[in-house]
Amino acid sequence: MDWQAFRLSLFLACLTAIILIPMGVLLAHYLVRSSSWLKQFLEAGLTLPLVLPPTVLGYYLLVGFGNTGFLGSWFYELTGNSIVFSFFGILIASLIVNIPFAFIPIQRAFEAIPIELRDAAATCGLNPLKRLWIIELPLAWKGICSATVMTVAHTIGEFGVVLMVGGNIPGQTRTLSITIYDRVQALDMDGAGVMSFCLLLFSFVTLLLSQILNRKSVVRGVAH
Amino acid sequence: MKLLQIILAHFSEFLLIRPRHLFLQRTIFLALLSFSLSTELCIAQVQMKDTKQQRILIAAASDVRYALDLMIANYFKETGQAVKVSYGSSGNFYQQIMQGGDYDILMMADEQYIFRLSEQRKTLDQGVVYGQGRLVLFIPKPILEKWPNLLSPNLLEFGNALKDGRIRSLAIANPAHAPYGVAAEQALKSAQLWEIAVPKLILGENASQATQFAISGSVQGGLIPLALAKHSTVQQKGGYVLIPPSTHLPLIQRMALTPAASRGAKEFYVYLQTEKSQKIFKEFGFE
Repeated sequence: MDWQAFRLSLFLACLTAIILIPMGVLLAHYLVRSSSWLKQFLEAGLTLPLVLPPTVLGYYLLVGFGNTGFLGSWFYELTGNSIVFSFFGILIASLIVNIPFAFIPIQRAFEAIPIELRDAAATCGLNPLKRLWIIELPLAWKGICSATVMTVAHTIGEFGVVLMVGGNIPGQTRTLSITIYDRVQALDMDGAGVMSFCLLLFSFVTLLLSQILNRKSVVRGVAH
Repeated sequence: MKLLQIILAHFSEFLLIRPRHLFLQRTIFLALLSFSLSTELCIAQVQMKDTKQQRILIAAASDVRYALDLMIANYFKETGQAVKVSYGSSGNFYQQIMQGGDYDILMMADEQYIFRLSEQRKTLDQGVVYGQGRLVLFIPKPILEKWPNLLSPNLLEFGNALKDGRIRSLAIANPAHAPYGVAAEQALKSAQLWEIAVPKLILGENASQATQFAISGSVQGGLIPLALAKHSTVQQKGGYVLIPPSTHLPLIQRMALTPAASRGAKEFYVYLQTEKSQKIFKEFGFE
């Protein structure tokens, strides 16, 4: 078991969730209420990483964030570091890849809140921010939890784009799933087996957890 | 810790307002709490790791894997300094470094890559040669037991086996960016076998993956580096024969320091050139 890779994977997953979930909440909250024509475009854009092959994303990240790319060269001049082939690079990649996983469950949760409830809260003199904090967030908490679980699980399982943008550097970009690939290439099947089993167990438990979360919300929905 | 205070403040608001779901909300709160705590721990640990030791990060051609792993273990025993390596194909690393990949030492299976990088000032100098790689034809045990004469350096019987379908697939590294793939292509062309071999080729991402394919049991042969064929796992799975170096361009292995190399990396670079290390390179088949 490669604990360094394990820690890196966990760290990446936590950071991704911490950055993405609050953004997902605000964005979903805005989009559910909005009726602008932009909404369709935004929603399609936010779901895009779900169907996009990781290599396409990897390609654009390499082109855009590489040292010859527009953003990459700008960042290089500013900090003297490059974005690709560093932890920062795989963080950006995993933030983009995980947008749908953080966004969709939260959006569904907000959609399920009856509009009358929000109107009633508004009548009581609560401003939109207070409404979000006091009324809507507690009602949508299951969606938010499930988004967090899915984001963390998906980040730990991400492979293609991390390999393309990160390049398998131990301690920086070699996550657990890449370590398995690397161990197999090193003909260390036992090592790869242990880590594969850990990830299998982890993924199963995660899905179980999110299923339990979802089932409870169905029961509650019927009771309403 | 400020983050925790903010979370605490907002959740206490939740707890006051909806006592019905007290338990559930406390559960989320605890989950979030442990989440941010573990993250802070992680950050602390990553930072500690960086300051405690000098970073030595090597980008190495995958054929040197077992030799280098051994030297790194020796170096750690002698000095306590850890060395990190990323193995891959030389062409891929070239691409990475041009895009901003940040390494201390580069070890390439084809010296042309080092020359090209040094022209672009991505290395300190033109570096030093640490050996010449050799290509071998590897045949898995079950095939070898049936037709033991497949292993001949002139590839004659092997060529026949390719033609009559006894060999249905052949693993080589990807010639687009792996020097051993290029050498394999040239060797097959020298033996007039390239045309027949093309539809049967299984391309590995680098020489190490080609080796893994070759010993997987699903492939009937492979053109792989001698340095990897000498590994005990590979030797258990089959036999190999050296391919004459005259049939392909020489695989001259060259290493160089990058301008970003730390003092520790320079010390390890010198260590790689000591007699002890050179002996290990020789043991793994680098001439």
